[in-house]
Amino acid sequence: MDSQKRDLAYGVLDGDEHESAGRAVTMGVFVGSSWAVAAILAWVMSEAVASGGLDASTRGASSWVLACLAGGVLQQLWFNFRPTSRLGYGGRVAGFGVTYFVALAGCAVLGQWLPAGQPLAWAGLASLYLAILAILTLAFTVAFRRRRAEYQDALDRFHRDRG
Amino acid sequence: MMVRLIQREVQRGIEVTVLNAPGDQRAERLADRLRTADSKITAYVSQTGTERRVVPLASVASIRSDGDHTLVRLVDGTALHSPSRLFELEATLRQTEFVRTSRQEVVNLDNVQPIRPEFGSRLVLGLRGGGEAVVSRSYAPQVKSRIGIVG
Repeated sequence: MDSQKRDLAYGVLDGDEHESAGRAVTMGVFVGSSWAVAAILAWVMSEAVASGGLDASTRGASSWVLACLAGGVLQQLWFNFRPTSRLGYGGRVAGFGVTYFVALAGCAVLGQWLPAGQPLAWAGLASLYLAILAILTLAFTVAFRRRRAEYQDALDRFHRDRG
Repeated sequence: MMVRLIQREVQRGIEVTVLNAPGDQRAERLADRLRTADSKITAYVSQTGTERRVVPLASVASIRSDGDHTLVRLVDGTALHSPSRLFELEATLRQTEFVRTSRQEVVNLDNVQPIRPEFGSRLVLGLRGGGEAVVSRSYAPQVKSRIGIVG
Protein backbone atom coordinates (compact mmCIF):
# COMPACT_ATOMS: atom_id res chain seq x y z
CA MET A 1 0.00 0.00 0.00
CA ASP A 2 2.93 2.24 0.75
CA SER A 3 4.09 2.13 -2.88
CA GLN A 4 0.62 3.02 -4.13
CA LYS A 5 0.62 6.05 -1.86
CA ARG A 6 4.02 7.10 -3.17
CA ASP A 7 2.80 6.68 -6.74
CA LEU A 8 0.15 9.35 -6.17
CA ALA A 9 2.85 11.78 -5.09
CA TYR A 10 5.11 11.07 -8.06
CA GLY A 11 5.91 14.18 -10.08
CA VAL A 12 3.71 17.19 -10.62
CA LEU A 13 2.69 16.50 -14.21
CA ASP A 14 0.86 13.20 -13.80
CA GLY A 15 -2.90 13.10 -13.82
CA ASP A 16 -3.38 11.95 -10.24
CA GLU A 17 -4.88 14.10 -7.54
CA HIS A 18 -2.44 16.11 -5.47
CA GLU A 19 -1.60 15.28 -1.90
CA SER A 20 -0.64 18.81 -0.93
CA ALA A 21 -1.65 22.35 -1.82
CA GLY A 22 1.96 23.03 -2.87
CA ARG A 23 1.84 20.37 -5.57
CA ALA A 24 -1.58 21.54 -6.75
CA VAL A 25 -0.30 25.13 -7.05
CA THR A 26 2.89 23.97 -8.82
CA MET A 27 0.82 22.01 -11.31
CA GLY A 28 -1.42 25.05 -11.76
CA VAL A 29 1.59 27.26 -12.50
CA PHE A 30 2.88 24.77 -15.10
CA VAL A 31 -0.49 24.50 -16.82
CA GLY A 32 -1.10 28.26 -16.63
CA SER A 33 2.35 28.93 -18.11
CA SER A 34 1.59 26.68 -21.05
CA TRP A 35 -1.60 28.62 -21.71
CA ALA A 36 0.31 31.91 -21.39
CA VAL A 37 2.84 30.77 -24.01
CA ALA A 38 0.05 29.65 -26.34
CA ALA A 39 -1.71 33.01 -25.86
CA ILE A 40 1.47 35.02 -26.58
CA LEU A 41 2.17 33.01 -29.74
CA ALA A 42 -1.45 33.43 -30.85
CA TRP A 43 -1.16 37.19 -30.30
CA VAL A 44 2.12 37.31 -32.26
CA MET A 45 0.57 35.44 -35.18
CA SER A 46 -2.61 37.52 -35.24
CA GLU A 47 -0.55 40.75 -35.14
CA ALA A 48 1.69 39.44 -37.91
CA VAL A 49 -1.32 38.60 -40.08
CA ALA A 50 -3.04 41.92 -39.35
CA SER A 51 0.02 44.09 -40.05
CA GLY A 52 1.62 41.95 -42.73
CA GLY A 53 4.70 41.04 -40.70
CA LEU A 54 6.40 41.24 -37.34
CA ASP A 55 7.06 44.57 -35.67
CA ALA A 56 9.56 45.27 -32.89
CA SER A 57 7.26 44.23 -30.04
CA THR A 58 6.04 40.99 -31.63
CA ARG A 59 9.60 40.12 -32.67
CA GLY A 60 10.82 40.69 -29.13
CA ALA A 61 8.02 38.72 -27.49
CA SER A 62 8.26 35.78 -29.87
CA SER A 63 12.05 35.64 -29.60
CA TRP A 64 11.90 35.41 -25.79
CA VAL A 65 9.15 32.80 -25.89
CA LEU A 66 11.09 30.72 -28.42
CA ALA A 67 14.31 31.08 -26.41
CA CYS A 68 12.57 29.76 -23.28
CA LEU A 69 10.87 26.93 -25.20
CA ALA A 70 14.16 25.93 -26.83
CA GLY A 71 15.83 25.90 -23.41
CA GLY A 72 13.16 23.57 -22.03
CA VAL A 73 13.18 21.24 -25.02
CA LEU A 74 16.98 21.03 -25.20
CA GLN A 75 17.21 20.48 -21.45
CA GLN A 76 14.88 17.49 -21.74
CA LEU A 77 16.76 16.11 -24.76
CA TRP A 78 20.21 16.44 -23.20
CA PHE A 79 19.48 15.56 -19.58
CA ASN A 80 16.23 13.56 -19.43
CA PHE A 81 16.41 11.46 -22.60
CA ARG A 82 17.71 7.89 -22.31
CA PRO A 83 19.96 7.87 -25.44
CA THR A 84 21.86 11.00 -24.40
CA SER A 85 22.35 9.68 -20.85
CA ARG A 86 25.08 7.41 -22.27
CA LEU A 87 27.22 10.49 -22.83
CA GLY A 88 29.33 11.71 -19.93
CA TYR A 89 28.22 14.56 -17.68
CA GLY A 90 30.60 17.01 -19.34
CA GLY A 91 29.54 15.91 -22.81
CA ARG A 92 25.91 16.55 -22.05
CA VAL A 93 26.48 19.95 -20.46
CA ALA A 94 28.67 20.95 -23.40
CA GLY A 95 26.16 19.53 -25.91
CA PHE A 96 23.31 21.40 -24.27
CA GLY A 97 25.37 24.58 -24.13
CA VAL A 98 26.42 24.51 -27.78
CA THR A 99 22.97 23.63 -29.16
CA TYR A 100 21.32 26.21 -26.91
CA PHE A 101 23.80 28.79 -28.11
CA VAL A 102 22.73 28.11 -31.70
CA ALA A 103 19.06 28.40 -30.66
CA LEU A 104 19.74 31.62 -28.74
CA ALA A 105 21.63 33.08 -31.69
CA GLY A 106 18.59 32.43 -33.87
CA CYS A 107 16.34 34.08 -31.29
CA ALA A 108 18.73 37.02 -31.00
CA VAL A 109 18.53 37.58 -34.76
CA LEU A 110 14.73 37.28 -34.70
CA GLY A 111 14.31 39.59 -31.72
CA GLN A 112 17.13 41.96 -32.75
CA TRP A 113 18.66 41.65 -29.29
CA LEU A 114 21.99 43.03 -30.48
CA PRO A 115 22.56 46.16 -32.59
CA ALA A 116 22.82 45.38 -36.31
CA GLY A 117 26.16 45.72 -38.07
CA GLN A 118 28.28 45.32 -34.94
CA PRO A 119 30.16 42.02 -35.13
CA LEU A 120 32.08 42.90 -31.97
CA ALA A 121 28.85 42.75 -29.96
CA TRP A 122 28.22 39.24 -31.29
CA ALA A 123 31.80 38.20 -30.63
CA GLY A 124 31.56 39.50 -27.06
CA LEU A 125 28.30 37.66 -26.44
CA ALA A 126 29.69 34.42 -27.91
CA SER A 127 32.91 34.68 -25.89
CA LEU A 128 31.08 35.33 -22.65
CA TYR A 129 28.62 32.50 -23.28
CA LEU A 130 31.33 30.00 -24.21
CA ALA A 131 33.48 30.96 -21.22
CA ILE A 132 30.52 30.43 -18.85
CA LEU A 133 29.75 27.14 -20.62
CA ALA A 134 33.34 25.92 -20.23
CA ILE A 135 33.35 26.76 -16.51
CA LEU A 136 29.97 25.07 -15.98
CA THR A 137 31.05 21.97 -17.91
CA LEU A 138 34.20 21.65 -15.81
CA ALA A 139 32.34 22.28 -12.54
CA PHE A 140 29.63 19.71 -13.33
CA THR A 141 32.17 17.12 -14.44
CA VAL A 142 34.24 17.46 -11.26
CA ALA A 143 31.20 17.54 -8.95
CA PHE A 144 29.57 14.49 -10.55
CA ARG A 145 32.83 12.51 -10.59
CA ARG A 146 33.24 13.11 -6.88
CA ARG A 147 29.65 12.20 -6.12
CA ARG A 148 29.86 9.11 -8.28
CA ALA A 149 32.94 7.90 -6.38
CA GLU A 150 31.18 8.58 -3.06
CA TYR A 151 28.06 6.64 -4.12
CA GLN A 152 30.13 3.77 -5.50
CA ASP A 153 32.03 3.53 -2.19
CA ALA A 154 28.71 3.36 -0.34
CA LEU A 155 27.44 0.60 -2.63
CA ASP A 156 30.68 -1.41 -2.26
CA ARG A 157 30.46 -1.03 1.52
CA PHE A 158 26.82 -2.17 1.42
CA HIS A 159 27.80 -5.28 -0.56
CA ARG A 160 30.71 -6.03 1.80
CA ASP A 161 28.48 -5.69 4.87
CA ARG A 162 25.95 -8.03 3.29
CA GLY A 163 28.76 -10.55 3.00
CA MET B 1 -10.50 -20.15 2.32
CA MET B 2 -9.68 -22.39 5.23
CA VAL B 3 -6.29 -21.99 6.95
CA ARG B 4 -4.97 -24.64 9.31
CA LEU B 5 -1.77 -24.34 11.32
CA ILE B 6 -0.59 -27.71 12.60
CA GLN B 7 2.35 -27.94 15.01
CA ARG B 8 4.09 -31.30 15.37
CA GLU B 9 7.03 -32.17 17.60
CA VAL B 10 8.67 -34.26 14.89
CA GLN B 11 8.31 -31.65 12.14
CA ARG B 12 11.52 -30.11 10.79
CA GLY B 13 11.09 -26.90 8.85
CA ILE B 14 7.81 -25.61 7.45
CA GLU B 15 5.75 -27.50 4.92
CA VAL B 16 2.85 -25.74 3.22
CA THR B 17 0.30 -27.49 1.04
CA VAL B 18 -2.26 -25.42 -0.87
CA LEU B 19 -5.31 -27.44 -1.91
CA ASN B 20 -7.43 -25.87 -4.59
CA ALA B 21 -9.67 -26.50 -7.58
CA PRO B 22 -7.84 -26.58 -10.93
CA GLY B 23 -7.26 -23.11 -12.41
CA ASP B 24 -7.85 -21.18 -9.17
CA GLN B 25 -5.80 -18.01 -9.70
CA ARG B 26 -6.01 -17.06 -6.02
CA ALA B 27 -4.26 -20.26 -5.07
CA GLU B 28 -1.54 -19.64 -7.66
CA ARG B 29 -0.92 -16.18 -6.26
CA LEU B 30 -0.94 -17.49 -2.71
CA ALA B 31 1.65 -20.10 -3.64
CA ASP B 32 3.74 -17.39 -5.31
CA ARG B 33 3.69 -15.34 -2.13
CA LEU B 34 4.68 -18.31 -0.03
CA ARG B 35 7.60 -19.06 -2.33
CA THR B 36 8.68 -15.42 -2.13
CA ALA B 37 8.63 -15.70 1.67
CA ASP B 38 11.01 -18.63 1.17
CA SER B 39 13.32 -16.37 -0.90
CA LYS B 40 12.11 -17.81 -4.19
CA ILE B 41 9.96 -16.42 -6.95
CA THR B 42 7.83 -18.21 -9.52
CA ALA B 43 7.82 -17.01 -13.11
CA TYR B 44 7.08 -18.30 -16.56
CA VAL B 45 9.40 -18.59 -19.54
CA SER B 46 6.86 -16.82 -21.77
CA GLN B 47 3.89 -14.60 -20.94
CA THR B 48 1.32 -17.06 -22.27
CA GLY B 49 3.27 -20.26 -21.70
CA THR B 50 2.98 -22.84 -18.98
CA GLU B 51 6.68 -23.64 -18.52
CA ARG B 52 7.27 -22.49 -14.95
CA ARG B 53 10.52 -21.77 -13.15
CA VAL B 54 11.06 -21.28 -9.43
CA VAL B 55 14.16 -19.14 -9.02
CA PRO B 56 15.91 -17.91 -5.88
CA LEU B 57 15.49 -14.18 -5.19
CA ALA B 58 19.28 -13.88 -5.07
CA SER B 59 19.38 -14.54 -8.83
CA VAL B 60 16.86 -11.80 -9.64
CA ALA B 61 18.28 -8.46 -10.78
CA SER B 62 15.05 -6.51 -11.23
CA ILE B 63 11.30 -6.83 -11.57
CA ARG B 64 9.59 -4.49 -13.97
CA SER B 65 5.92 -3.77 -14.51
CA ASP B 66 4.69 -4.96 -17.90
CA GLY B 67 1.00 -4.16 -18.19
CA ASP B 68 -0.95 -6.50 -15.89
CA HIS B 69 2.12 -8.68 -15.45
CA THR B 70 5.73 -8.24 -14.47
CA LEU B 71 9.00 -8.96 -16.20
CA VAL B 72 11.56 -10.67 -13.97
CA ARG B 73 15.16 -10.13 -15.10
CA LEU B 74 17.73 -12.58 -13.81
CA VAL B 75 21.45 -12.02 -13.30
CA ASP B 76 22.21 -14.42 -16.15
CA GLY B 77 20.33 -12.10 -18.53
CA THR B 78 17.20 -14.26 -18.77
CA ALA B 79 13.82 -12.50 -18.71
CA LEU B 80 10.88 -14.36 -17.18
CA HIS B 81 7.22 -13.39 -16.84
CA SER B 82 5.25 -13.31 -13.61
CA PRO B 83 1.45 -13.08 -13.50
CA SER B 84 1.68 -11.06 -10.28
CA ARG B 85 1.51 -7.29 -10.35
CA LEU B 86 4.43 -5.19 -9.20
CA PHE B 87 2.79 -3.91 -6.01
CA GLU B 88 1.84 -7.47 -5.05
CA LEU B 89 5.41 -8.68 -5.45
CA GLU B 90 6.81 -5.60 -3.75
CA ALA B 91 4.66 -6.27 -0.69
CA THR B 92 6.17 -9.73 -0.33
CA LEU B 93 9.71 -8.45 -0.94
CA ARG B 94 9.67 -5.98 1.92
CA GLN B 95 12.16 -7.72 4.17
CA THR B 96 14.60 -8.34 1.31
CA GLU B 97 17.18 -6.21 -0.47
CA PHE B 98 14.72 -5.27 -3.20
CA VAL B 99 13.96 -1.58 -3.40
CA ARG B 100 11.53 0.43 -5.49
CA THR B 101 13.37 2.56 -8.06
CA SER B 102 10.46 3.98 -10.03
CA ARG B 103 6.77 3.46 -10.54
CA GLN B 104 7.62 0.64 -12.94
CA GLU B 105 10.47 -1.22 -11.29
CA VAL B 106 11.95 -2.78 -8.16
CA VAL B 107 15.63 -3.70 -8.09
CA ASN B 108 17.65 -6.17 -6.05
CA LEU B 109 20.41 -4.06 -4.47
CA ASP B 110 22.54 -7.17 -4.06
CA ASN B 111 22.77 -7.33 -7.85
CA VAL B 112 23.48 -3.67 -8.55
CA GLN B 113 26.87 -2.68 -9.93
CA PRO B 114 27.77 0.13 -10.54
CA ILE B 115 25.83 3.18 -9.32
CA ARG B 116 26.07 6.70 -10.65
CA PRO B 117 24.32 9.98 -9.89
CA GLU B 118 22.31 11.51 -12.69
CA PHE B 119 21.06 15.02 -13.42
CA GLY B 120 17.76 15.91 -11.79
CA SER B 121 18.53 14.15 -8.47
CA ARG B 122 18.15 10.77 -10.12
CA LEU B 123 20.41 7.71 -9.97
CA VAL B 124 21.34 5.10 -12.54
CA LEU B 125 21.91 1.56 -11.31
CA GLY B 126 23.80 -0.95 -13.42
CA LEU B 127 22.20 -4.40 -13.19
CA ARG B 128 24.09 -7.67 -13.17
CA GLY B 129 22.99 -9.53 -16.27
CA GLY B 130 22.90 -6.32 -18.30
CA GLY B 131 20.84 -3.20 -18.51
CA GLU B 132 20.31 -0.26 -16.22
CA ALA B 133 17.58 0.96 -13.93
CA VAL B 134 16.92 4.67 -13.56
CA VAL B 135 15.96 5.67 -10.04
CA SER B 136 13.45 8.49 -10.26
CA ARG B 137 13.81 11.57 -8.10
CA SER B 138 10.95 10.43 -5.85
CA TYR B 139 12.60 7.12 -5.01
CA ALA B 140 16.28 8.19 -4.98
CA PRO B 141 16.33 9.18 -1.26
CA GLN B 142 15.04 5.72 -0.30
CA VAL B 143 17.66 3.95 -2.44
CA LYS B 144 20.46 6.16 -1.11
CA SER B 145 19.36 5.57 2.45
CA ARG B 146 19.30 1.79 1.92
CA ILE B 147 22.95 1.74 0.87
CA GLY B 148 24.02 4.15 3.58
CA ILE B 149 24.33 7.45 1.72
CA VAL B 150 23.41 10.26 4.07
CA GLY B 151 21.84 13.42 2.67
